[in-house]
Amino acid sequence: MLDRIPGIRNACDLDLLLFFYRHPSALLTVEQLVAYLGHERERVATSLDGLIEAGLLTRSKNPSQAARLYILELHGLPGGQVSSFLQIAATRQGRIEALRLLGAAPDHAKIA
Amino acid sequence: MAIPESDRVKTGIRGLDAILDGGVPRGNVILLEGAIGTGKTTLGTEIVYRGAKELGEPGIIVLFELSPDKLARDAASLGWDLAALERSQMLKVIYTTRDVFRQELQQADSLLLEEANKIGARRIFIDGAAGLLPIGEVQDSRETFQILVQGLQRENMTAVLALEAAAQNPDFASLHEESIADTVIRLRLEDMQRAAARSIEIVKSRGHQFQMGRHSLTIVDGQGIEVYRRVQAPRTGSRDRAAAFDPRTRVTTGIPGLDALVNGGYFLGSTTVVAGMSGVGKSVMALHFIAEGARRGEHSLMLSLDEQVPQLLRNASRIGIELQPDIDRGIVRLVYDSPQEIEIDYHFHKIERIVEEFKPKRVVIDSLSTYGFSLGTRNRLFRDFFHALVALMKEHQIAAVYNHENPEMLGMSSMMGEFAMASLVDNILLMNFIELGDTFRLGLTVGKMRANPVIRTTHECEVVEGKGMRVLPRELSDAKVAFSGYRSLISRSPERSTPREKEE
Repeated sequence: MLDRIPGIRNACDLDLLLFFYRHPSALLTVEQLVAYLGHERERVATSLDGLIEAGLLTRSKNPSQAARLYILELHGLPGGQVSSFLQIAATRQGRIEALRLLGAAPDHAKIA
Repeated sequence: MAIPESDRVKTGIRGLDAILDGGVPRGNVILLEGAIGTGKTTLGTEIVYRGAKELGEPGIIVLFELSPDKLARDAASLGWDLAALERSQMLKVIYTTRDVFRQELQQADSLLLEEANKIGARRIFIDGAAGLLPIGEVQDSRETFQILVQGLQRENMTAVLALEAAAQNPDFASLHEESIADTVIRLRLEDMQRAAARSIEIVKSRGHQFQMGRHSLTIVDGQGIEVYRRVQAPRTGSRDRAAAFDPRTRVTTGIPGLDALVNGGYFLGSTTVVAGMSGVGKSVMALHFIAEGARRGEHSLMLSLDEQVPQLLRNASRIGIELQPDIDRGIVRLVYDSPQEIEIDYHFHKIERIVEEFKPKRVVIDSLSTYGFSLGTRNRLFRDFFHALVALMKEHQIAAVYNHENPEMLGMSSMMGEFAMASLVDNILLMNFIELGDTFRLGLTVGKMRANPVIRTTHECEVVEGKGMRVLPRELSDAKVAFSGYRSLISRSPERSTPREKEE
C-alpha cells in the first residue's frame, strides 16, 4: 500500500502526514511543526513541499505571514488508500511497521 | 422591549435557549467559564455544531490543545458527525497556537478569518482562550482581550470563548474579562453529598432577559447537552391563569364510600395529600384512583419513588386491579424513578415532559415523604419543588394526589409533620391505625377540603384481598362496634361513647 502513496519517502514525511491526519486544518509556522515533530527544520520544509506536490496537503499562499494554513487533502486521491493507510499508521505498531517499510527509522522512531 | 427573533442567536442546545429567553443577541461575545470537567468544550462545540447542522449557520472551531481528531471522536460519542459538516463546508475545525491566533486577529489579511469567510461562518468557538491573555498586569490582559473581542466582532460572528477557571477560584471574581464579554456563562461541578452534578449559570447577558440562578446541565450520550431550568424558578403567568378551578367537574376516587366523604370527588386542578403511616393503605387508595381513571377512560399517571412498576402491578393485582391491559391500551402509565441521588431539575423536567405528552387527568405521586428524605425538608429545595409540582398540575388541570408518610403509628398530632406544606394543599385525607381491643383498625378522616363543606368524622376502612379498599358504613351489621360507637379515635386513646354521646 505504501508504495502506491505518493509523497511518503521517509520518516519525516510520514510523521508530518500523521500530524495533519490528526490536525486536518492547522494554522502554524514551520518552527512550530519542527517543535511538534522533532525533525530538523530543513527536512520538515522539504517534506511539506513533497506532500503538497503529491496533492496530500495544501498550504495557504500568503508568504507574508509566518503562519500558514495547512489543509490535509485526502479526498482528492482515488480509492481511499491514504485514509486506510493513515488509520493503520496512526497506531504505534502501524507507525513502526510503516517506518520499517520505508527503511528510514530514525532513532526516536525506534523507541517511540 | 424584546429583541426580534432574527436578532437572536439560538444555541440550539436543549433547554438552554429557554433560559436565554430565546437566544443570545447577535454579535454578543460569549464567555464560557469553568474549571476542568465542567463541560466548556462540549458546550462551545455544540453551539457551533447546532448552528451548522440545524440552524443554517456555518461555524469555526479553533483549538489550541485538544487535537481535532480527539474532538471529532468525542463529538461522535454524542452523535455529532463533525467530519460530515466539514465536508459540506458548514464547519471548519482549525488547530493553531495561541501566538499565531493572537497575531491573526490583529491582521487585516488574517488566514483564519479568510477561512471563516470562505464558508460564511457566523459562529466561532475558541477553546482554551485563557492562555490567549498575557499573565501579569491586569491592564495588559484587559487590552489583549479587548483586541481579541474587537477582531471577532469585526467579522460579525457570534464568538464563544472557553476560559478555564482555576479550581481554587470557584467564584471567578477576579476575571476582568467578564466585564468586557457581553454574555458570561459559568459552568460548575457541584458537590452533592459525595456525588457531583453539573450546573450552568448565566451571570450576565447584555441586551435581553434571561433566567438567573444555577440550572442543571447534563451531557447525554448520543445526544449532547441538556439544560434543565432550576425547579425553584417561579412558574410563568400563563400557569397562574390556568390554575382557575372548574367548579363542577369531580374526579372520583374509585373507592366505595369515599366519594360521599369528599363531596363526590376531587376538583380538577386540586392538590390532595393522603397522609398516614406506612402500611395504612395509601398506595392501595392510589391504585384505586388510577384504576378508576382507566375505567372512565381518563389518562391516569402514577409516579412512584417507593415501588418499582412490577411491584405496583403485583400489589394492584392482589386487590383485584389489573392495570396491565390499561397500560397496554395507553390509558395508564406507571413510572418509577429511583430516589437515590435524585437530580431534581432533571427529575422535574421529566415529570413535566410526561405530563405534557401523556396529558393525564389524574396523577398520583408516591410519595411526598420520599422526596423529603431525598431533598431534605429543612431547606427550600423541597418546598420549591413541591410548589413547582403543584403549579404544573394546576396548569394542566390535573387532580393530583400525593401520598405522604406520617411517622406516627397511632393518632396524628399534625397533618403533614415537618413538611409544613398544608397551606399549599387543597384536600387532606388522614389515614390512621386505631387500636381497639387487640386490633389495629383503619380510620379515615377528611381533614381539609378547600372550597368544600367538610364533615370531619372518622370512618373505618378495610382492605380485602381481591376486592380492595372500601369505606365502611357508620353502622355495622356484624359483631364489631362501629367507629360511631367511639370517641377520640385519632387522639391515641379512643373510648366507647356513652349512649347519649352517640345520639348527639
